[in-house]
Amino acid sequence: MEAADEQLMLAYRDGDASAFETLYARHRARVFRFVLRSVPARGVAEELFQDVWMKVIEARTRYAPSAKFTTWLYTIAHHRLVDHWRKRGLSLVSLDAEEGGAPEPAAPPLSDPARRAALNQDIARLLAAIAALPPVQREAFLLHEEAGLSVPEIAEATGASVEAAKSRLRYATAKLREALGEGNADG
Amino acid sequence: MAEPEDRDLSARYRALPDETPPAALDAAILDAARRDARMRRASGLRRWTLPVSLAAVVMLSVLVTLRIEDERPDVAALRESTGLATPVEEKAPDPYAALPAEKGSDPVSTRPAARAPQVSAPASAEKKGSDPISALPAPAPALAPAPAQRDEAGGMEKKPDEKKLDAVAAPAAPAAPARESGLRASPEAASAARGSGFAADAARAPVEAPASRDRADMSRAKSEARMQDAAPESPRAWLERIARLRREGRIEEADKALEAFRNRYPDFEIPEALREAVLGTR
Repeated sequence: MEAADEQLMLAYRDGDASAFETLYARHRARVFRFVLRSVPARGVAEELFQDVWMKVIEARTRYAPSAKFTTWLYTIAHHRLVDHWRKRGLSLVSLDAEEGGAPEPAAPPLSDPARRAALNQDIARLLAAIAALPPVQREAFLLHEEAGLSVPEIAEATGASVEAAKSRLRYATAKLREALGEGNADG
Repeated sequence: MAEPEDRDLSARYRALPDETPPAALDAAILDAARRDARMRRASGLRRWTLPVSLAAVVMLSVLVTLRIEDERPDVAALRESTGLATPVEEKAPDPYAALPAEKGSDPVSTRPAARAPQVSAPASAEKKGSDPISALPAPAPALAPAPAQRDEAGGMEKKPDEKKLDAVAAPAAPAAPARESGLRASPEAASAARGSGFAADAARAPVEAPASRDRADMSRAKSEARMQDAAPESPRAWLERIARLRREGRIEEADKALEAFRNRYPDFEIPEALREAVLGTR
């Protein structure tokens, strides 16, 4: 039986490096994709991804299993992304914008020609639609799809109310469906 | 996201290509995590170093103390087995004489052992009957040699120096009580034993106390076993003690001590300087 994430984190907190390795192996790809699909450039995503895990390492002594490890992990990732946007001159207002009006901070992740070539049309359309979402809606969608968080967990990780998280997720899925439907219609 | 459209969207999202961090990034993060874990273990060890050290020191101290307590000769038993009488000298004050005898504190642990058992203080027996050690019956003196010389700094026996013998035979012999008592005769104890403080011990006269007698019997056996290893009282010290007893008018004790001396050292020739003081006017 596999050890729970929380147990592994507690073990790492107490000095067991192998527990961290297991934990990292479980979550590295998802966290990486969450960050990668939240920012425009892969280099930035890698930097943020490393920062997230360094924060985990630094915060290990304060870790208490009061919530799911995944929620705690993506809370750290969320805060790191907020810091990133803030440094880029984008206010939290734009980050928190629910609907339209706000500038889109994330450039389409398909700026890399190699990646673009490797993806088929459908995938490219979905990625473009995700990138076009408002940040908070994109974050809610990625937390739901990539991290597997429920609406209350999304609310906890992002510091929003459950209603706000639910609303963001609903808007995100509606927009993505619409984008994919339009794409299908076009294609 | 429970609707069919949502499930379809989720399926399409999962169909996106897997993106993973580069291996160099993985290695950097894992290295950082291992380094941090090592530091944590090291700091954990450091955190335990001080308490463990302190605990070890305390434990060692307790063990040493217990060992010392265990090896300390039993004063009461030694008193009985040696039958030594301590002269009452009134020249120097006894720093312990002012201590209240009624408090029930054990004089064995608080007073210098140089104060030898009192065999000539039955008059105040009822008054100070609370002292279990003093309550022991006083046996005949000089039945066994005392281990005093073991504790004396330097030599085990005195050199045959006539001047020294004369000085010892003189009325004021400062170090003699400690030497004779054979009990913890350190310099401090010897000096503390000097003087008139023996009057307080005299007040701790024997009282019939069966419980304490049983205890004394047991401790006497222990002490006698210990005294097998102890250095015997030197003949000169013995003679000095006899001389002192005689000077103090404790003729009977002096005679008994002399008899014991004769039994122990039948061929010993009493020095001229001590002869009269030891033999008295027989």
